[in-house]
Amino acid sequence: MDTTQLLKGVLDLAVLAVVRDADGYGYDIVRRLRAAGLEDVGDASVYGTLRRLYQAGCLSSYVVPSDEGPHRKYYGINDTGRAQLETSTKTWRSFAQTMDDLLTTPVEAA
Amino acid sequence: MNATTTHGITAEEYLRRVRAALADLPADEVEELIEDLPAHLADIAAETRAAAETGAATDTDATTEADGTTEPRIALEERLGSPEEYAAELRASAGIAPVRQAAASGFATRTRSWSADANAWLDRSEAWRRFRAFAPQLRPAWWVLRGYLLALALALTFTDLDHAGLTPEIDGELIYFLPVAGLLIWASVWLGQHSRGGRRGRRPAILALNAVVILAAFGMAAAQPSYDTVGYDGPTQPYVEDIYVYDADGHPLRDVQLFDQDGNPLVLPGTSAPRERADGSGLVDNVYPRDTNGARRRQMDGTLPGGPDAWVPSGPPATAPPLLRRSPAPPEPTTEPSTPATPTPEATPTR
Repeated sequence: MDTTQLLKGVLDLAVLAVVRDADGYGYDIVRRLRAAGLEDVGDASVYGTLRRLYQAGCLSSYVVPSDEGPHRKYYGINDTGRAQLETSTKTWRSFAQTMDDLLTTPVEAA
Repeated sequence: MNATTTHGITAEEYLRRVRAALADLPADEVEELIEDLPAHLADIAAETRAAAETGAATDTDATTEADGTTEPRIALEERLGSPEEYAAELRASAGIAPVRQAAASGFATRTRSWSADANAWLDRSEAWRRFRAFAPQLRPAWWVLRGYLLALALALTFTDLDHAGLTPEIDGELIYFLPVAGLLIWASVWLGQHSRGGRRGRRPAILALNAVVILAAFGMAAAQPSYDTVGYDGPTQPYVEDIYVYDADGHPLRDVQLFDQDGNPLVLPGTSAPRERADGSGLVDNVYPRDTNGARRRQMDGTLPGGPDAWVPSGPPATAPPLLRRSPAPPEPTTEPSTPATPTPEATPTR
């Protein structure tokens, strides 16, 4: 099964989750996601998601100057983002539970 | 390994192509979307360089530059997908609606980009820029011409109006043509004045009308006017304007009246030399030689003006070679036209 399709639906949640405890810049966040096991996550998808979450007011951002190389734009979660993370987490748990049940328990034919 | 065989593209090239793939978006939005990308590409480069130094890299090509430094050329496309794919993924994940507007109208996009290229190329020419600045002033003239051509095309289609190229012949039909032409010219000018900044939907219709009119104009200009195909073929021989006549002995004859097979006076084009009839019944112009060329007359007299070395136009000989006499009267020709052999009905003595 192509996990990239699955990822599309949960990338918002995944990104919010990896910035929950520490702010990070784009590539940072990509690496955190990959380290967490989401190997197939696309770099561009992460940047696009960060931008969308930022525009939705779930993230705050600030630029950190760098001595070597370009400045980095860091993203951090805010209250809206935390609320969103909480809601999405519940939705995901419920959904995952439903799927899990569907796959483990044979459905009785009607 | 040298640079030409290196696969993959440079970071600048990658960035440029991503930017190009987002070019339909507002500039500030593009900047926001890709503001992290240079740093991201630099990070990947640094990462890959580190990996290359430990010999663990599998997706890099090291290019040895002239100064001896080793610059890893990352196969960015392997890592991130093609710039276009990257841009598409960025759009999709950022929730930017028209992900691939171009896919639906690929042809239109290609045509637009081709025409933009052509315009850019033309704009480099000074003459073209001047023409473009001047051309709008010619618009009213084109509107008038368009109305006229349209009227002519309609007139030729629906009436018997004759035309020579793009001008109508003056005949009975012209009186109907002129008001129609006036009306259509007025309509064309009106259309021209009202089409600028008008509704977009109307533009293709006007362009189509212009195309039809121009094609029709070519057709009408190329068509042979009917009167040209019949009528005088013109002289098939070199131009003749005078005739010199010699008798059987080769002596020049003067004041010879010429008639054709129907008894009509034979009048050549050129300088006319009318002669009066002896009975005072009028002038005739079929008397030869006309001798309007002074140089020739003197040559006829047997003298050359200005001495023997002077140039004279090639004229008739002073005398012609004598003919071999036919002793008896010639037999009656068998294939004689129905008219009399001696067509002299009007041959009255001239004086």
